[in-house]
Amino acid sequence: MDKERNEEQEFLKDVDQFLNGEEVTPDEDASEDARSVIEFARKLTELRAEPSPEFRESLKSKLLRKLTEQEVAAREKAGANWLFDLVGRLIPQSQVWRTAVVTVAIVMVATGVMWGTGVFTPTGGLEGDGLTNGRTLEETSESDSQKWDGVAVAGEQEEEEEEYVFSPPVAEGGEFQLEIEISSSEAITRLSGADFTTPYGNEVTLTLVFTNTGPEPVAVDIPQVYITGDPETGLIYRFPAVDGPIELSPLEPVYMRFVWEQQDINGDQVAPGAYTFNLDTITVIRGTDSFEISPPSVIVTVLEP
Amino acid sequence: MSTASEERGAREIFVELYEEFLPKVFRYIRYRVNSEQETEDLTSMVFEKALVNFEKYSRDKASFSTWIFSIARNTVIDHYRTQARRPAMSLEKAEIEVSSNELLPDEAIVRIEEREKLQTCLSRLSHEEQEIIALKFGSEMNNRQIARTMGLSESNVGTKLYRAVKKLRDSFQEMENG
Repeated sequence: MDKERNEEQEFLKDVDQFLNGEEVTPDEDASEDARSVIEFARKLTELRAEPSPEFRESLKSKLLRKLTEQEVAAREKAGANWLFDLVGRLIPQSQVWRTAVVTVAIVMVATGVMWGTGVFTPTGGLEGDGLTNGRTLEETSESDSQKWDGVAVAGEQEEEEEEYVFSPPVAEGGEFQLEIEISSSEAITRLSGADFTTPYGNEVTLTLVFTNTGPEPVAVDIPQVYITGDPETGLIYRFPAVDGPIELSPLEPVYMRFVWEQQDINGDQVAPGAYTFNLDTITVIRGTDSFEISPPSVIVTVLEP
Repeated sequence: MSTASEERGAREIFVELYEEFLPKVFRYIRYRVNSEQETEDLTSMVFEKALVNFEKYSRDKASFSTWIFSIARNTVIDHYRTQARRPAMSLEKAEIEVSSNELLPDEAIVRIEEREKLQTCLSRLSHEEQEIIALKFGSEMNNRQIARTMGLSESNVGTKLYRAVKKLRDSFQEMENG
């Protein structure tokens, strides 16, 4: 009984040692049976299956994408909670005041709805006055003019991420995103967008998202982005080039936005038709090695006015 | 609202834990199911569940190892419930796998055959014996962790593990001798 107990203890000690990668020397006094069990346990360790590198990488990418989605959802939820808190604080605690505030709010909403449906519009008034709408659009465009224009700024990254990346698709199209995920030796590109048609005169936004999923930092030469029309018209617009490579730390996405205001190189509105966003080859430099990515082109159709 | 640096922190922590525990979870599951494909599917499920519940995980309550392996164990149990069968090596499948490896070097073929035999022998053990072997050799847990995970005493784990490996060896040798 004692002998069996000792052999068991010896076995457990040896198993822990070789699972830790330590050298195990067979006990001279141990019985042949005890040594054979140890040898079998060693075989059991050697025959263990390992996950393939492909599986390892693909699951990692999948989980990171999911993690990003979770972060965005959490951020949106936090934003909504903040709004509810603010509204809650604005409404007074007293029952009488609360009733008064709610009544005023209902009257304001009802008035707004009636105004919008044209109940208050005088006969023969502003119907069809495109100038009002046109000015509003123009102002919106001006206020948006602080957006990047083809330049990656690491410091602005967080703000850009909140506002533009993974945002819900816009109904009228014109926004799309190209994700470029760089692992140890290759890159995966994914194109997403609401629609690749856009109304005449609208801004068209291409967001490039670079993510380094490998363990080491990499440098990336930012591609020149340019727009071409049909073969006859050729080059339509070229975005300013970004100087020098940018460094991508592991798992730290860098976002770049290219906003095209449907203008050609002379600043004139382009005609309706198909336009292609072209991206030059991207060079990824990791230490002394480098490899190239050929990003896909994106065709956007500008609709008739 | 968490800051970007906090999020990056969570990301990095998750990736570190992924790199450390993926092989262990994979091996644990590989000991418990029949095929590589099932192993990959279940491993993916374990890490997806871990990711979804990562916020709820508290280091003060349990080590990450205990936490992830409790997810892995439950995932395997659910898998068996869904399959409504005990793990058993399909002979037909083994033959196909071996014959499809005709072009591999001899050493690799021997290894594949041994792995198949081992899987068959493992499936002949009781669920508790399979579990104890998977936790020891797959998850690389120490006996105290196994005891806590399985609700046994530490000395009991040692005895059961020793007997399970002996039993497995006998079954394996018997199979090798025809």
